[in-house]
Amino acid sequence: AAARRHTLRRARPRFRVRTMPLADDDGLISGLTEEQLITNEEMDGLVKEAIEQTVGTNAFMHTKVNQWTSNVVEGCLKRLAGLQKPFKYVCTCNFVQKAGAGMHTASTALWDGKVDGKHTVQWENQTIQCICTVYWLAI
Amino acid sequence: MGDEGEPAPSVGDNVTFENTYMQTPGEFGEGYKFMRGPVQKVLSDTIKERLQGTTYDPLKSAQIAKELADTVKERVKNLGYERYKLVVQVTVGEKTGQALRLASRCLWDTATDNFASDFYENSSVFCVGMVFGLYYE
Repeated sequence: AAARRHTLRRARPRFRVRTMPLADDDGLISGLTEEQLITNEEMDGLVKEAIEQTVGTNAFMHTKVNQWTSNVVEGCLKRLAGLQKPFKYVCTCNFVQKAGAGMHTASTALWDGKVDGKHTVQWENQTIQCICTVYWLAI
Repeated sequence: MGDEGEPAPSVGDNVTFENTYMQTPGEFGEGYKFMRGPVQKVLSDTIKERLQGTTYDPLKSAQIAKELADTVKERVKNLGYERYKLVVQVTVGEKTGQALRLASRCLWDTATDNFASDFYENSSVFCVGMVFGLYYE
């Protein structure tokens, strides 16, 4: 038999390709069908709508901020519950007055990468900056 | 007449898990339910340890926030909540007299899921940390 030429192979593919998670043997991804999964685009629209409906073009008002944060988060959760998908949700909303201060937010999670995820929306107007994060974790 | 018993499964066998029929974390035994007290302690200790005596540095703070989140997650994992999915969020910012409001709401099962949060500040930097524990069936 002819000897096999040894060639150097790259350990990783050259380009990163984003694909949908591979289904298990029974056609389900960690117990969920493909339609049941949540995408970032879905979340983006949902959250932006909630923020714009609550705050709109208002300026930062100390007295109103409490109300705004509650409304944004509850609006988000109501819309998420309306999706009727088998997930638990965590929604965080951060309102900051624009004053030239620096702020960093980091998050880590222990979850099932195939079905769980998070989406962050950064929204701003003249005086307010809003950072809203939604996490969805499969049941 | 004694049975010999099945040989132990080895790596590479297709192992199927049987039902435990236990639906809540409490049924597994003591210490399986997400307890807020110990988690809160871990969170506040970690943040204090990392940020005490530091000042806000725009270049390093991004890294600090990421490291804090990772450290907190590892330590909470070591507390041993095996049936729980964890979400850790850390916000680090500079204090310049601006107003800030951070709120969170969750849609979950109140009997099994919980969260812990902590706020730390010194003269130039503030930090808000939140750990959420969600039961995975």
